[in-house]
Amino acid sequence: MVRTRNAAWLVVLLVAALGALVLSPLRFAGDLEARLGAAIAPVMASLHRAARPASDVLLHAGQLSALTEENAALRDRVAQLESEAATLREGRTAEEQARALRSAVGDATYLEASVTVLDPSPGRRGLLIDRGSAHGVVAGQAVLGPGAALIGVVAEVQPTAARVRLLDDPRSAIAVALQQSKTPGVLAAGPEGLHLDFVPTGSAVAIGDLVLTSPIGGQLPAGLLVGRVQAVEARPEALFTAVRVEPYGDASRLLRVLIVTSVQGSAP
Amino acid sequence: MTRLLVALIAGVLALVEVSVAAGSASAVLPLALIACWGVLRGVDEVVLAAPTVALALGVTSEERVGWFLLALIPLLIALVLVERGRQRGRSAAVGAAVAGGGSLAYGIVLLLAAGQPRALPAAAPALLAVSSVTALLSALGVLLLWRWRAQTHTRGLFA
Repeated sequence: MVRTRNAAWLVVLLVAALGALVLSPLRFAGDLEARLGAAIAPVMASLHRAARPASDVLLHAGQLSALTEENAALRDRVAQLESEAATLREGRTAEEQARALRSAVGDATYLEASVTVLDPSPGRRGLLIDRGSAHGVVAGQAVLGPGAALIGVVAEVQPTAARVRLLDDPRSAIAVALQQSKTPGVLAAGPEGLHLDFVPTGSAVAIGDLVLTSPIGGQLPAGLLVGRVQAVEARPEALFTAVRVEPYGDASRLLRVLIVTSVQGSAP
Repeated sequence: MTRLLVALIAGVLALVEVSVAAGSASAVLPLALIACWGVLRGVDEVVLAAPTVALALGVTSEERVGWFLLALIPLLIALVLVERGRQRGRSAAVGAAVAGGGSLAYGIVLLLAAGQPRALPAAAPALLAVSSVTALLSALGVLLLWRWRAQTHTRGLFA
């Protein structure tokens, strides 16, 4: 009797899950989920803010040695970047970089937003932020993290909240170009991290090259900093070069982000 | 009444975990609660908790609520299949096994739902770590809540 009742419960839940999946492509179902998410977002933001000091200690207590190593590596990297920056200031590349930054940063209009939650699904990489269409946010806008580096793109918008798809989400694909050689490519995410797709074999790609957004496709403003080339594997028999990219923006500990709402002379 | 209470607590735990520890854990607390309470009281007292947790997680994710509910079904199937033990230690072990397996299945289903079967090998260590924590919490939950286990002469917690 009990086993029959339990089996009945399971069947009901299974049917409910499958029903929810079948209905999910319908507009009203997606809207309902998004509105519920937006409704509970303020509660979660408060919880997040209140518990952050304690959770930081608890969650990162076991990572002290890793953080120490990371800190040392970052110090080395800062020193290296300072040296590179000094060299670049003297050269033509610096002029180009400054122009790109001016066009991306100086002429753009930004909106600041707080991160409410990170996507709880292990297969997704996304953020929920507390700004939406009521504040001028529209799907497709660029979202910047630390150092004004691109961390993702607005994927869905509700009146007072929006969902950001991060660069390392499996469905993310961004048109980019290497700053030095102007080699175009598509930045995508895989199990090993970010990589560039469709970079023809023989293209001029070097480790350390800066990866910037490209105006191709018209999705994002050109010149936003994305990351740098971490590894290059060119095989003569392959059509494309395998290029791994290290992102500049780390979205895992973000509290605030900037949304590029408009850029003078180009669509956001 | 008990079903509603468990569902409410599981839903709140899911929201708290997403708010506080997103990115480092994956529904550890609600899954541990469902597993330990299911082992102690039977699966019929956690059937409302599963959709509540799925709803709480689904509305904060780009993944659909249906996938989260589907990901929780293996945990419930395990609860139906296991027999509730009469000994405390044995029940704790059963709770740990159910929670660990259910948590592993939960992670795998959601990775497949995101279209990332190739990411499974890379994600395996993280999934195993999360499953271990869930199993440990569930075993502790069984030990701590042992006095509220189902017994033949009572029908419900509030009966």
